[in-house]
Amino acid sequence: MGIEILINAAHINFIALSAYWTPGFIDPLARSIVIISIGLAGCVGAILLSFTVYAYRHYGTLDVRKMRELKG
Amino acid sequence: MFTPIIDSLIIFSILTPIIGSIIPKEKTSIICGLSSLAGFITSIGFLLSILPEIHRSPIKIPVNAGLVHTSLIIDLPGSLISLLGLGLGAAAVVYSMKFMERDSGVHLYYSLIMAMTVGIIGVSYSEDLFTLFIFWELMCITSYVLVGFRKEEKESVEAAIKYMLIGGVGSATILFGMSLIYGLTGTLNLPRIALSLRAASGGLWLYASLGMLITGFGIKAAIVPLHAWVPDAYTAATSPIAAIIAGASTELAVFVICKLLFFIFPAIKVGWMEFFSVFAILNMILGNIVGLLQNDVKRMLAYSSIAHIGYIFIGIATGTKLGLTAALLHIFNHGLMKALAFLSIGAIIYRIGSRKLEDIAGVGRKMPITSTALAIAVLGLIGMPPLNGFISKLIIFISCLDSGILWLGILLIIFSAISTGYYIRILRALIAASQNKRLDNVKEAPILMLIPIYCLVFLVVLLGIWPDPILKFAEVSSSWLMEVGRYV
Repeated sequence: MGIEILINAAHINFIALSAYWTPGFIDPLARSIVIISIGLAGCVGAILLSFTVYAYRHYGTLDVRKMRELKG
Repeated sequence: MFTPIIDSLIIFSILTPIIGSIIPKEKTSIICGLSSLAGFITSIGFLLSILPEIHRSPIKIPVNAGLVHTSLIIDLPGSLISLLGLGLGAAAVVYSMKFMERDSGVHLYYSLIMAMTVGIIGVSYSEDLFTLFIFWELMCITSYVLVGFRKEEKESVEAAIKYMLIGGVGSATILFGMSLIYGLTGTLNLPRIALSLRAASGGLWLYASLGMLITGFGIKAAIVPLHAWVPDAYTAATSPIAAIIAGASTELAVFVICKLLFFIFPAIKVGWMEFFSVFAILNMILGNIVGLLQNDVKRMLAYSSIAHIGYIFIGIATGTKLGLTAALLHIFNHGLMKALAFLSIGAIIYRIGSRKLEDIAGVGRKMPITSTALAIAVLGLIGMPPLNGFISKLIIFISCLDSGILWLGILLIIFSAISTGYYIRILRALIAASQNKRLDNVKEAPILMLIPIYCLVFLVVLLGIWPDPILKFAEVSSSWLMEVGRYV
């Protein structure tokens, strides 16, 4: 779930910078962006988790180092 | 909602699974394929019909949306990429009607292909960084699912996991780069960013955000240190999906890098040449040398894709209008050739069931029509004169001569020659005498697969003999990209 943390860093940056331009006024653009982007991050997380389940069924482990079918 | 080009695809992408769930199971593949093909044809027809109009001035949608400027702009450079994406999507759909016949959940598969094409079109038309990001994620998420679509196969799940981990980091990096740009300029609208950056001098943060955006898009574009997912994903994905990802989505990422650099970062033009020529050389070295060592045809084509991205970067590195024209032309031509190669090797895999080079040896005698198509694709990738690969490589070389970086052009020729080594191995495998029992009762590929393959062959040969229309298209597109003032 490191990807979620990475995306959240960008979200916080957006929120922080939205208050930066005009003092006393918070740009609504950044808020709307962050809300939509949280939804997108949720989609990515859901698909990643579902593929993790399939990987566990095939390999019996979640260790990425053991997934070595494809190389070259 | 947006524009009929995108809307028709969205409507059919919702309709197709509904149709697929009510009709009998054995006909799902054909009927859902026809329904999604209808969406593609509507969309291509509309795009072709408004092409003369956008030649004069780009269409903005919506015209003025108040505070939140999330908008699309239908312009010529975007049309080049979306035509490529739509064409390859339609070819993949026709091809999949037979190819995916035995899989379950095919109606969802067609829906995902259309959603991915929507993503490709949306990214190429977006005028706003956040619109770009949303469509980009739409394309990425659907492509993760499509790579791992055969979930009962070990290697496709593994490839999907690798692809998702790398791609997810890429998306997060893009978002962070965008947030830095937002902090610098206070807007995400591309022409406004261009205007406000033109006034200010590029500080350290500008370089940081540029680096993050290039890293993020570079993951999809297979720039060399970030290329690790490419061979795995192309190998494990089914052939029509590999054709779309290799032909349209990778090229789209290169196009987005082009667009960002020529469009919103004219302030820091110095140092591009060195920067891109380094990546171009790395890509060419790795793609061509590692390609020589492969024994799996799809992996070979994946490494050849990496090498071709290097050739495109040479065009961008020159920094002139001719160079950009050459890069756009090679984006289009390489998309066609690589999709043709993946589709025809997919037809061979469909009949033989192996993608090892020694197993397909001698297939040319059993499947002459498919093998001819594969041979044409491979000759085009080498850069043989009557095919379209030659034209774009020639223009890249001329643009190198023009801007005085002859050594890069010479490297292009040297690496093209090296790459011939593994392309020749594919050609030799096709015409060799058959020693394999497996080939004895192999038949020619089904007609539904041959139709899209031969449409692409026709385009590859036609654009090689008569490149004027696409050359003019790329030239006008590059002059649009070079002059930001036209968009404001």
